[in-house]
Order: sequence, then C-alpha cells, then structure tokens
Amino acid sequence: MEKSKNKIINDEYLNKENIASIRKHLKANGIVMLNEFLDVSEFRKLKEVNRKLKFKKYYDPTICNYSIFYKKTSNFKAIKKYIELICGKKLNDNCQIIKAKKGNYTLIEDGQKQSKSYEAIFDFTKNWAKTYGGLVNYRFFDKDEVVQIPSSENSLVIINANKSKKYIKKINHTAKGERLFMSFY
Amino acid sequence: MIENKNWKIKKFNSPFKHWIIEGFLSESECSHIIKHIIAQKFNRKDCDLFQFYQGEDLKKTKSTILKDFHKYFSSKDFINEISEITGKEGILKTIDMSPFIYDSTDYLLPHDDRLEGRKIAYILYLNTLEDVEKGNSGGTLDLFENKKVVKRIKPKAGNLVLFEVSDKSLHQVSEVISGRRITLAGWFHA
Repeated sequence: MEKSKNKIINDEYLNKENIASIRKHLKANGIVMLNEFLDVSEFRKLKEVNRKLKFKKYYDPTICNYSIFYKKTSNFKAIKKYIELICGKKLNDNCQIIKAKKGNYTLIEDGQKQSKSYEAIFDFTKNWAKTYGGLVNYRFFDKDEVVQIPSSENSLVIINANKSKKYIKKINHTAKGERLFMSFY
Repeated sequence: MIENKNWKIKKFNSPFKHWIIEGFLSESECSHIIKHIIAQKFNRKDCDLFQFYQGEDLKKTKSTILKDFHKYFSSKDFINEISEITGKEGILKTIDMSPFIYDSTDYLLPHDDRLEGRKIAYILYLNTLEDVEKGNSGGTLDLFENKKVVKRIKPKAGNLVLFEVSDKSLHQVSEVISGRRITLAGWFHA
C-alpha cells in the first residue's frame, strides 16, 4: 500500500515490513493498537466533521443510553481498506460513530448477536482516563474473558472479536468531556 | 438481636409493590454489624451491569454476630413475618444474604431481578450516606416506570426496603458520588 493511495494514514503504517509485522501481531495476540494512526491534519479535519454530526440518542434503561450516527464506510474508505488489509476480512458497509457522556452506557443483552469476525475502534477522544468508564469492552463467551480497549486520541485498535459481545462501560461522574469514536465491524 | 421492635412499616403500590420498614435496626445495631461486615472478605464485581464489592453469603460467615443475624433473618418466624407484610403467606421459604459495599463511582444499572424462585428482594441499609438529605451522594434505589425513574429511595441506616420481584420491578442503584454505601441484600425465595 503506497502513501499516494492512502494520504490520510500515517506513513509508518503503510510500510510493507510494518504491515507484515502488524498482521503477525494481530494473529498472535488477537488485538493490535496503532497509535497516531492518521496524519495529524487529516485527523483534526475528520474529528471536526464527526463532532458536528447530528447524533441520534438511543435510550432504553435495560439496553443502552448513548448517541450514535450511522455512516457508510465509503466515507472512511482508507481506514476501512486498511483494517481489511490487516485482518484479511471484509467489513460491514456501515460503521457507527459513537458519542458518549457522563451516565451513558450499553449493556450486553440476550438479543445481541455475538461477533463472528474482526472489529475495529478508531478513537477521537483526547485525555480519557480509564477510571472515567466509557471504554469499549469485549466479552468473550468461549474463554470467559473480557478485553478492554484502551482510549487514546488518533488510535486504531483492531481486534479478533469472534464469539464476543461488546459493551460500553458506564461513564461515571468523574469524567471530563465526552467520548467520540468510530466502530467498524 | 432486634429485641425492641420500633418498626414503622410503609407500603407502596406504585410503580410496583414495595415496602419500607423504617427503624428495622437501630443506628447502634447498624454500627455494630458494620464493624463485623467490613472484616469480611469482599470480591470486586465489575461487568457491564454493575461495579461494587460483594462479600460471601452470610450463611458461610465465621463471625458470631453475623451468623446470629443471618439465623434471625432466615428463621421461620421472621420469614413468616415478612410473608405477612408482603402478602406472600406460605410462599416464602428461604433467603440469601450478602454484604455489599459501593464506593464512589460504583453502581448497579437497571434490571428487574427476575430469576427462578426470587419472590421478594430486600436491601437493609447499614449506613446513611453523607449529605444524603441533599440528595447528592447517590447510592439511591431508583424505581422505574415506563423507562423513567419515578421514585428514589435514599439509603438510611436501619431501614429495610422490600420489593416484589416481577416483570415490573425495574430498578437500579444510582452511582455513588461520595461516601460509602454499605448494605445487606438478597432475596426471599419460594
């Protein structure tokens, strides 16, 4: 993958050796985190556009309390293609852009389908402490294990989410600001 | 234990059947129990629905005081008394009882408690949260109707809250903002 085709992604991640190494890491560990994923100016532009979207609030006390905007992944073609290159699987045509603030959460519910493949989280959130809550957690039912996705501005996390369901941990009163991230699946 | 009953029983039908027994324990009885509770082994519980500390079921405790309290609470006489209060005569048979500690940021999100055999849920408050009168310490038991919180019950030392478990009994424990919420809680089972 050459830079000319993927101008928004950090050069480091387009290097052939690095791509091979990232794929190897993902295969071995089931998860990989790429910090400073987008070019800084492109990241700022994308963040500003997404921040201004008209989010739809979803509230059902036994399921969720948060805001989502669904968007075609074609708007984020380069990111989607990169994730697909790394995990070797096709992603859904839609992605979710999620905004969450104090008191927001999602719960694992019976009707929620288990993931069967790779998923990815691209994070716009700056200075988010783990103690605030609000992190995405994948609960793996075959291993009785929970994997928490750390939050870091301009990071992409790709995870093998097979046989898992995800939830957003409730954001508590100590949180400063809002969480904003994209979910590819 | 509980030699002088100064209970004041309040019954409510909305949003679902619940009862508040004020003065179930005196403040000094609560303090006495707390001393033994905090010496118990607690496990951190953390998932999508909740985060708090939960101790072992008190039927396994080695503390004589707690063992006595559990014996009283699980006695036929007491279960009959609760059965009469809640209109569940002949239905309630057994109890379980665990200590819970909620620190700042701990919570229990909305759910209805339904599980086979659970008939009446209870929460016995062992302490009153600081500033609880101003309503800003959290840790309230919130009752839902039509997806909205319609009643908040503040934690007050010595009060026993009971509610009927049903498809309507949607409730939560609001996030603790300050202080530490210490309770004994569980269910009366059929």
